[in-house]
Amino acid sequence: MKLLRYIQGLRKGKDAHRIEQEAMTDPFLADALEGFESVEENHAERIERMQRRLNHITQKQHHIAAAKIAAKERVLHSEIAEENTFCAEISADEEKEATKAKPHVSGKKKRRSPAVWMVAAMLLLFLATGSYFWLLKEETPVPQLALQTEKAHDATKEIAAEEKAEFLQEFTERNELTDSRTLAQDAQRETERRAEQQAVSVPTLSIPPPPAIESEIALADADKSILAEATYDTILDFDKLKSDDSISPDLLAFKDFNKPQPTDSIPVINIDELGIRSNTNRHALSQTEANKKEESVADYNVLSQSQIQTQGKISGKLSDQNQSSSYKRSKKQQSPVEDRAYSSSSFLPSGTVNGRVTDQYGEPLPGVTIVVKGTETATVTDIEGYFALNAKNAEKLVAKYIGFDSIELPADTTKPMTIAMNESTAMLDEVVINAYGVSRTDDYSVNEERTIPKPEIGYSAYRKYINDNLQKLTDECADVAGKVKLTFYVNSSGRPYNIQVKRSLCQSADQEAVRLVKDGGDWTIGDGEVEYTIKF
Amino acid sequence: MQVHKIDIAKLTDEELLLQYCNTGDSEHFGALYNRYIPLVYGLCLKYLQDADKAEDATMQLFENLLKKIRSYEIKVFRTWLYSVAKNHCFQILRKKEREITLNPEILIMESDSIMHLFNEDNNSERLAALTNCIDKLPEPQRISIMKFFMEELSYAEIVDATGYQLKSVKSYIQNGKRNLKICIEKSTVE
Repeated sequence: MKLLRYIQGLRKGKDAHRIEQEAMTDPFLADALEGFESVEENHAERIERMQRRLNHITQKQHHIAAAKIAAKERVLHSEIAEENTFCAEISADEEKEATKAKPHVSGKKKRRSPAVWMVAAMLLLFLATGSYFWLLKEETPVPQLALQTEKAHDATKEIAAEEKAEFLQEFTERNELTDSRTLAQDAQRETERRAEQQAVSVPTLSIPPPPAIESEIALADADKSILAEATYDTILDFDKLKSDDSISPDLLAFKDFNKPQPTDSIPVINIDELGIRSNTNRHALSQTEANKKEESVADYNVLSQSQIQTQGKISGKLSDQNQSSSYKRSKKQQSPVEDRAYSSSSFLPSGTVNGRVTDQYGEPLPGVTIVVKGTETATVTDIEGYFALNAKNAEKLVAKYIGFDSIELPADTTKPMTIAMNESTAMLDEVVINAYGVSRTDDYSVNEERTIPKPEIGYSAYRKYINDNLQKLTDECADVAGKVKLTFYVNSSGRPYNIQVKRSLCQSADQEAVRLVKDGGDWTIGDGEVEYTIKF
Repeated sequence: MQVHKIDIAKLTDEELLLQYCNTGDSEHFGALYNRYIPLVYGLCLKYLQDADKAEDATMQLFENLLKKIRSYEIKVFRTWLYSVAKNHCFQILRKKEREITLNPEILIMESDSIMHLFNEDNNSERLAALTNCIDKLPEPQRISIMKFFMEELSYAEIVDATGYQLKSVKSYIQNGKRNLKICIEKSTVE
């Protein structure tokens, strides 16, 4: 970007001039340029960092949104699946349909409408959730299930094997293509086709992966979660090849549909497929930049990890396999955080709940208090949001954090828990401190508490004295009528002092009023100001 | 389905915003805001005078907008964002009760009538007035204006060519533009 280069100090040449000229009419740009000049820093680096962070945030939210939609649909489908207790029947039917549809599919490989695509994904999801519930209901160990399925579908197995061979052949042919674009497009079509075939490929369990493919597996790590990742990577990288940035929601939705398949069904199939896929993947990747690969892997680590946490009610054998190999992987990737995430899940004693607390955007929340409800057992999440504490299964955990809604959920000792907290919407009002309520201690305000002196003889007698002693005025004030108001204080011997005319009537009248009070009787002792009015 | 992604870079601000409002896909708004990160960050730097604070403010503004922007009616995103970002900075400053110092010179944004004069020479009368007025300018202003508008040099290049300070060059151009405008208006009225 030209502006970035300008900020970095390349301020000569036509581009620089253009920016400066633009700034003359664009106050936004002018302000920004001024800002960059006024503070010494590596601004370009910061800008790039912010842009990366922003991409990360938006893509994460993007994933969350897509995952939510997928989860909703999954619930919907599992409800349907529950009604049909024997999913094997259904899947058999589906297989027939799929095999029927197959020639048609390969016949028009070139273009596929999104609708067909969606149908494929739905079928897949349906089957996956179905088999998942079946697994749950029957509580059959995985290998046994494999055997059963194998027996049940001996006939379809052969068809599937044929298909597989066909596919492999196709693939090797494709390998010879040099154009990366064609390869990627083809491979994506293949992925689409595979999505449909996955419905069919359940019985291909027993077919051992060819040795060549096995070496590929070694490269990619034969691990269920990796498989998921590898699958996604393939899709993602096609994606990246096809467009510069970001993943289309539709594709992502597809990924989510795809998810239950690798997690819930039998690993052998998936490893089998993984071989092919990671192969494809490698080819696709070799055409893309290395850093892109790293990024996508990193992103999908998050996904596959959360997938395990939220979705995986994996049978014991599976999770063992998962943990050991994923531990290997985390070593390989040298990411301390992940290492911890996995190792903690593998080695903590039973009765220990561990997990991670995040906000609604998936950012870790450090310092969240987690209490086992009704007990004194509590812990606080660390800087990465991780926690571990002793609790029995299904005991209630309460997570509390300031600024977030408290959350209560049953403990699950079988897998790392992910607790997402929502920012609380109730905000505190800003506190405004003002000076209205402050009381001042000045002379006037305390006035009321002071005792006001009275005439010793009483007000009525004092008035009589005034009336008796008031001398008729003879000067120009003689004809005026009205009142003179005086104020004064009374000293310790009861005499008025500091007599002042508050309201004047006429000079001689004022003087006469003052004389009357001065010569008049004593007052009771008090420290208040006396007001006295005399009529003329 | 994949088509719209390729086009994200080509979409105008307003189209991108519309996409976000319609789909609620944060990626669209992310892409839009990404375009403005350099500007918003620079603006925050100007007011907050601290790289860390400016970075925080920039990211904070994004998060605020992401939640709220769909409820606004925005005609031109650029100008809208400019005022929102500025207000955001002022709010931060107000919280810290710091005095806001504004450079009045920058706040006065002149219309680009002068630049039109340099770019279009179809009006010979005005052009004659312009050349006449340029000659009347004080020397440093005249040199700076000529180099910037005629030779299309950048500020830094003018500094190199003349030996003036960078700040002086800017104010020469600023003042020169103002003087030119006044001079031309006078001469065309007469």
